[in-house]
Amino acid sequence: MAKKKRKQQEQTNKLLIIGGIVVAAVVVVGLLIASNRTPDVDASSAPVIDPSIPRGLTKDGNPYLGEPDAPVTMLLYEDFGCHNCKTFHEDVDARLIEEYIVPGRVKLVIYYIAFVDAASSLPGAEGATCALDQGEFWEYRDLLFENQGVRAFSRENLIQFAETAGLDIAQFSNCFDRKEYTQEIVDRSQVAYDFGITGTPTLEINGERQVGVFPYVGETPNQLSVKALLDIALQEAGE
Amino acid sequence: MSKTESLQLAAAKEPMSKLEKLRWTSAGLALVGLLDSVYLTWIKLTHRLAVCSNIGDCEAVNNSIYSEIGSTGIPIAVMGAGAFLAMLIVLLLEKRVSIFEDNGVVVVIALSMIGVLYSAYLTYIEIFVLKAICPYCVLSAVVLVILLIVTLVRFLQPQGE
Repeated sequence: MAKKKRKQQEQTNKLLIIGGIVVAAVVVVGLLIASNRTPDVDASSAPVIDPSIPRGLTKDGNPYLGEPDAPVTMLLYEDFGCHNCKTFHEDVDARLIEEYIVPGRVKLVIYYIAFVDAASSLPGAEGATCALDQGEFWEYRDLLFENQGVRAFSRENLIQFAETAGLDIAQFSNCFDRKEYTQEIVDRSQVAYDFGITGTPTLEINGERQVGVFPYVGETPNQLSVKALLDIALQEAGE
Repeated sequence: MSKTESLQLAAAKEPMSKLEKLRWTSAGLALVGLLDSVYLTWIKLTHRLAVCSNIGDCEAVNNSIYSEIGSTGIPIAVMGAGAFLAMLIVLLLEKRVSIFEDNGVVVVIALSMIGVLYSAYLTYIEIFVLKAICPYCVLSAVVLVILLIVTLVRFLQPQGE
């Protein structure tokens, strides 16, 4: 009898231990998930790209930065929900602008698409297009990459980015809420896919295509790098 | 040794062998999980597929913003590898180290429980947010579920039966 009671007590203790573990596990997982939520976006100040740098739209309607007739064109396919595009952007953009775009040697063209992350790619691209609508793509693009994260491209945050970039908020909200460019973005993403763009970032310099993240400057002379590709292209262009 | 003692020893050995089988099953599962996580970590850290794509589902998942712990930059696969390695060590040393003999099974339950819950969250993200399923992540989740069940069965086995 005592043995049976002891066994029952033992089983009860085990169940209590399991209950305790469940509670502790829920807390730990809750903390992990909470750490994945992006903290409040920091859109207090817009990154500034020298306003004297020429910018506009190509014949196909893609935004470009640099002299329209620069000897080398660097076409970058990117997705605002793509983690690797953010990495590439952070490593490359500032030095590219300073060393190649400002001196008028390279023109950067962005072909943005939306197919990586259903939660952020499309709203990011929609926000960028609404910004482009007001002639302000580049600062908005920087804000998207700087604040990229889990659920970072909510309507409220995208509008906040627009405000920081100095856009007309009413016009931006109207554009975003009416989903004016959704189909256009879906279509251009499909066009890119049909053209062989299956991942981002994809870089095209004078027709030569490179897929994936690689550094701005290589650690060795033979390593693939943006700078090396641009220098070869400039050389070929007689610069 | 008397006949009675021999019989008692044999009787005592019977349930132990069943528990041992469960322990070795758990160790095997932890090893599978470890190899899986190490592979995913290797892909992530070497930037072998540093392309965001919706073509290869593992690329989409493993290069998504959900593949790291918060903003630490630590891949989730590293956390998984660490957990599987810890469980494997505990399971293998359970009969040799007294602290593991007393608490090892509880540690494995706790780690696999956290793993199962977090895998459930990640699977939800894969299906409903990324709309991409990575088979290696699914394998990890399945291993964790079976590991948890096996360890719970082992834990709830009445002592001496």
